[in-house]
Amino acid sequence: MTPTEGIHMPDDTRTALLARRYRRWLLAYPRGYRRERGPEIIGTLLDATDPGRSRPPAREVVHLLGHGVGRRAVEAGRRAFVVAAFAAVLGGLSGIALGSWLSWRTVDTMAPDSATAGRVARQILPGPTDSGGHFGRHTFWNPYSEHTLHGGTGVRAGSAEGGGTVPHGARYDETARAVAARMRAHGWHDVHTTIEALDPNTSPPGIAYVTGTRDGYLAAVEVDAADGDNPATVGLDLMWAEPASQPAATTAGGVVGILIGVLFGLLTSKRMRRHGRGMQRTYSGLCLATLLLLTPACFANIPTATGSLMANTYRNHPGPSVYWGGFVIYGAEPLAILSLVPILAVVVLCLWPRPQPSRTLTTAT
Amino acid sequence: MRRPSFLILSALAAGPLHGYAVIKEVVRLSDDQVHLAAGTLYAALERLTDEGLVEVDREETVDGRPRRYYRLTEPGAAALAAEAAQMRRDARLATQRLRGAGPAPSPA
Repeated sequence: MTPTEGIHMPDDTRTALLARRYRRWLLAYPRGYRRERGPEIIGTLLDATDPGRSRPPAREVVHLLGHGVGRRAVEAGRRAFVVAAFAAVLGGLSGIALGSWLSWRTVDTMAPDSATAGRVARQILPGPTDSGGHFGRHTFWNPYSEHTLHGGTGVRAGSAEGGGTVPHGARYDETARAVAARMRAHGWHDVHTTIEALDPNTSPPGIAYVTGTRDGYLAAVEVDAADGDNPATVGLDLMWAEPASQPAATTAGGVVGILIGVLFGLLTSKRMRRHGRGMQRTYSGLCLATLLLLTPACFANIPTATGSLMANTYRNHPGPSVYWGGFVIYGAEPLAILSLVPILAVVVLCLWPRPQPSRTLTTAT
Repeated sequence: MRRPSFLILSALAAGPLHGYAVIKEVVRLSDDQVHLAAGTLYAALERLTDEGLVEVDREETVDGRPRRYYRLTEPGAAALAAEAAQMRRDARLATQRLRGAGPAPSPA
């Protein structure tokens, strides 16, 4: 909508439109408060808004949202606020993991095969090539890998290896540039070259990485410089690249997870207020159990997601981005699955019939 | 007492006002420095009402819009007077100390 919208609008129409928009923002307040004070607040807002406006000023909107949510939190009670805050964090992290996992389901479960790796190696590597089999795991769905603890990504998608020979006398950085040129010539996208000159006394004294994507594949080439004892080497890891839907799916998963967590926390807390102290204690215990069961997976997902993001920047060794690693390492996976039990129990408690007040029989006299 | 609450009580000290009139009066009293958002005003009015410093005077409908007028209660007037006296004492104290210290040396 442009800022000039509403210039030719009759005043009544503009005021009605503005009132409707204010009424929408007032939904941030609890229903009882809206019924009691809503018309008065809208009247004041309409009086205070500059004539000619058909949209609420951002400042008023921010204040309405802030005070409305604060009012809801006060009404729901401190426990609801705490439960909603924890549920938002857990829901957000779980949603991120779920969104990424769903996105990766569009990719073949098996890592690229060795024949494909050999074909790609012949295409982009200089000199004679060979295919070197698989490294790490063969599929995406085996959650455990030898690099889980040390690679920083938690889940390492499988890769197929190919090898090549560095032309005699060629420097490692020249070889890397030649690989990058061949990749571009064969239609590979996002080709990046990273050259690391190391201490001349180390082995190897220099490493170069070239990465690129094409047809859903991610090719990572590593060129090691020669030293006194070893010749220069060049190797290829062929993996599946991140699916194009992953950023959107991951973001949407996080946002939806936060919203569901907040709503779940607020609604269940509010609903449980109907019950007696014993049921409320049970509810608190179930919330705590959910927190304990989900925390390992969610918190383990923070470093794995961060590692994934780094891998997305330097897409060589760590591999492509996955954001659900925390849910499948160590014992986090069975615990996360077990957390469904207390969550379902909370739902059952909320649907449990409200206890009837005890009746005293009276006799008419 | 926070400044918006102080200004709202000061605005109501002269007589009952409705929400928008309070906003305008606060702008005037603060020399155009404080512009209360409606959400902030009603949150403050609710808090001041709960504390017994402000109460509803009457309700009217003007041009189809309901207006509620608020007025200062006796405890509200007392709280405002106490706050004003405290501010006066603080201001006098600061002025005396500044006078005793003399003019600040200008930076070299």
